Amino acid sequence: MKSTYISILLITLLISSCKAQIAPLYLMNPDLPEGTHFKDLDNNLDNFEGTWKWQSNDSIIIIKLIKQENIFFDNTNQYEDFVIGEYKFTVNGTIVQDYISRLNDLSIKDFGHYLSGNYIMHKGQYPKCDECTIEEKRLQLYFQDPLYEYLNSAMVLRHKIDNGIEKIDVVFYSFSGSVLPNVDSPSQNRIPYGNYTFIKQ
Amino acid sequence: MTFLNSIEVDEIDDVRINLRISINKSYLPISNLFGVAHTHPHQSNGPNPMFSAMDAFALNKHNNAFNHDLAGTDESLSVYILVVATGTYAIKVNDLDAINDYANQFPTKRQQLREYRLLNRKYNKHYNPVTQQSGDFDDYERDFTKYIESKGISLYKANDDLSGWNRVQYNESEPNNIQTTNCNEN
Repeated sequence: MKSTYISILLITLLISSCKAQIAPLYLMNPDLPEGTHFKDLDNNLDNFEGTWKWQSNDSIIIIKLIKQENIFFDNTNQYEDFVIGEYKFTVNGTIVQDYISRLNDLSIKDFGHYLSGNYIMHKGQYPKCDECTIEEKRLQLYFQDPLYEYLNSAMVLRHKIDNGIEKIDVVFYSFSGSVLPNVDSPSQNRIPYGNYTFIKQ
Repeated sequence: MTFLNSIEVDEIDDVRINLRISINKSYLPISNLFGVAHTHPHQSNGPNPMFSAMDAFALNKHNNAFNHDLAGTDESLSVYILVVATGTYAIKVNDLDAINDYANQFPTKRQQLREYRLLNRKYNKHYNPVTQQSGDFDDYERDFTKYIESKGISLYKANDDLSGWNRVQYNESEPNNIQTTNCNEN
């Protein structure tokens, strides 16, 4: 009986020693040990979950974001809390792009989604946010237009409550230069770079 | 000696100016572009002041797409130039097979983003959220030169007066792990 207790104790110690180290998501450091879980300890990602709508005249953009926990990345052997999303873009009632259903496709992982990422940004990081407080955290996601996959695009989201209405200010921008496939290739996505304000649905 | 015959402003915004550079040499149509220059001009609020993995992929893509002349590929011509507050850098291909092998490991956008992020996360460690300043230039030089080891890419930095270039390599036995070699002495 005594040996059984000792075995259980040893197994418990072994399991606890193998348990992943937890580090805050906003301090994501790839040099930390394999198995580290970069966790959204401050729940920064929660603010961005849900369905959001931007409208200007006859153009409408819907984005849907989902927070995922403990996603394993085999290029670092680390775990991360993560945000995936998809979007729909209509002009004059005509659907230009609609990828929302891709959120139901479990074969699509992390950056395979057209909105994806988890980088927590400070106020001074590009694109700089003059209105942000020093403690305020924004979220950077990568943005993909599959028709122009050669473009390297991202979006930075800032959550805010405006007169009791939940909104996100979004900046779509190019984060790195691109090699255009030919001289006539567009250097903009179908949703142009710029500033947008989305309202929670 | 090769003379530039055109520098074309390709795109301008508040943080980035992309130039396409061509030389006076016979190339097939649309293949006379051998270099790209861009800037990250704001040390305090700009993108990280160093090349990214996307730039490395782009150098390879640019080399494969644009740098073919009638005699075949001359990868020594391909160059990406980056102007930041702390200096002017260039990356070039030094081993065609190695850079192709490297780029071929990341054929999809998903894989490229995962790789891009890996290096960028190292860069982001140098950002100080209190002072809102980037790290020192040698922090980024160390990260990038270590990253490009054995990938067929070499990094160069221009003198302050742009009179010459130095090759910058990762070397653990050197101060700050950076070895600098004057290109004009080779």
